[in-house]
Amino acid sequence: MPSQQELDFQISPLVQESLVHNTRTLHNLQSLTASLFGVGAGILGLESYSGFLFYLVFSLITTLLFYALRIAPTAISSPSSSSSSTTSKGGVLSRYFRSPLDFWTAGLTNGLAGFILTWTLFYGLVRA
Amino acid sequence: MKEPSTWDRVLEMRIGGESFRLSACTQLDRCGYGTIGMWPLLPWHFSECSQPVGIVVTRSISKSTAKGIYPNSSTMTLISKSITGFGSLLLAHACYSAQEHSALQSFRAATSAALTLTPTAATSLPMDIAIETAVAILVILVGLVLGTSPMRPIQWREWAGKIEREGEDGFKDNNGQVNRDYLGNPFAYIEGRPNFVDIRKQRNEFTEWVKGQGQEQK
Amino acid sequence: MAQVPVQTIHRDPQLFYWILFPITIVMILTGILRHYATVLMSSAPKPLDLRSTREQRSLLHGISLRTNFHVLSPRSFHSRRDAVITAYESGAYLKDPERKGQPPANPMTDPSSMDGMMGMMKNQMAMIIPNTLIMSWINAFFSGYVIMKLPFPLTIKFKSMLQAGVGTKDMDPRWMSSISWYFLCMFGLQSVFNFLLGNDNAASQMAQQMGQMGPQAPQMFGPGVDPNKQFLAEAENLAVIEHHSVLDGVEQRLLEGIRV
Repeated sequence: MPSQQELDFQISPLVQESLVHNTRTLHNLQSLTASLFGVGAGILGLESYSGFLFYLVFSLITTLLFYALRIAPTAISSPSSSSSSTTSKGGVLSRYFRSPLDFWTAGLTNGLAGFILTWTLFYGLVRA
Repeated sequence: MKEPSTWDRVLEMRIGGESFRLSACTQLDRCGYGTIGMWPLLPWHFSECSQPVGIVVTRSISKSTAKGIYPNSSTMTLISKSITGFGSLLLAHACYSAQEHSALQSFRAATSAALTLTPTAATSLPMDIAIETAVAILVILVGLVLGTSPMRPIQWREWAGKIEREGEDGFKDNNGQVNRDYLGNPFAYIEGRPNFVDIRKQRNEFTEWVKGQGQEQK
Repeated sequence: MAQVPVQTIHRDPQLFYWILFPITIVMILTGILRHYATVLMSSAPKPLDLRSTREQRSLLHGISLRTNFHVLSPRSFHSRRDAVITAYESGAYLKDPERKGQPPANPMTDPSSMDGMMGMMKNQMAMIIPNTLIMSWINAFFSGYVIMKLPFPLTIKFKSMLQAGVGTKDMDPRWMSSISWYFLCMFGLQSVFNFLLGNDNAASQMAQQMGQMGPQAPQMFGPGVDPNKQFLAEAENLAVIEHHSVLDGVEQRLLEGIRV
């Protein structure tokens, strides 16, 4: 007999294209904003740990904003939540992403290189 | 049996000259997406049905409610672009001010160093520039987030329900172009089987179209 | 604890205009050029002849039967499986059934497989040539300048990498020379290319290298693979499947779903 997880995937399969589309959208946003944070950190003249902290905080804000503006509004409240026994397990996020952990943490590594590049550039330009 | 709403998919089959109607039980999940309870309703499943199956779970949702889930994309793009542009202006201004500030600082340090011999450490940025930078970043962030293309449901049934309801409109990116990995309705082949084509309706449509052409010619 | 005095170096602002910006612009333009060169050089795959197409497609048929067996009813699955397995084992779909037991041909002598090799070679060349050119360009013109200061401290080990060509012993490793700016650009420009060229661009060599290092897609129809062995393995995979339908217990699930 198949395992429970396998059976779940067979009964309610995932659309691979949508999954790729969602992850790619988020990835694009994060790498673009990471460069932006680099500009900000360079202007503020942050150094070492405070710079990385700045990056951490702002990329979390990005993900949060993305969640608040793009994902949360699609969950309109329905008069009957009884029929949603299969979908409600994991909130709105599970409608668009497979694992919540990926959604919240993947952004940190996506844009780090871009962040360091623009950080160095603007740090050098402003503090010339 | 209750007549199914628009979202319910009715499959008719003919076994031995008799027509049976099998209503795929589409329930609506809490977001109003038509979800199909019996997922793989592929044609070969009917070969084993010996008697008509009729379970219909109907809960309809009006089309306007369903449309309201996603805001109109073209206005969103305009808003997002203008917000991003405004934020970039703010950021550029902050960058310029910071640059001027540090240039001024180094100039003053150079002139005062001759007198005091204690090189003043680079004083921190004035508060207003720091605030301006942070605000600018946040503003651009909002603009960029608003400019992202809408997410798509990854569950097969929600995705299929969305296609069924919105068609191509649900899969446009921000430029109003239909995304290239949109492959069309996965149920289209069921509708298009020769036995189930409503030929009268299509004939009517065709005559309407011919009439319309004729009027345009005149 | 005594405060370590911060090293300050007065740099000519002209360094920015004549070193930093040229390197950055050249890097971006090279990336764009590489993208379009890859697009232009990519050759369309050659049409296969009938028999090898049949060989590949029938193998794919077996694979999709294996992955999607759960949407079939038991009867139709079993009849499909029997047909496919018999055909596989008898070698009915093979390109040339006479050469069943022989080892596969040497990929270097097979003209059809040379095509794929050339494509890979072209990609490699598109990556290597610009890199060496830019490296030697930077080394020839811009070596020995200190242009920038990294905003975060590094250990002394990075000194030889960051300050290549600068022969000052006591300088803080945070100061970096032009060649290290080149490396930074190489790693960090991916987001810029994403923004400029769209997502699946070929501009960044980093992404390509990542792709090569990642798990290689199993070489399905590559040169040097014996198709008969693939067929036999696939037949075995199919034979061990224990069939279940996704419609098993669907009534139960449905009733659970509509419970008020």
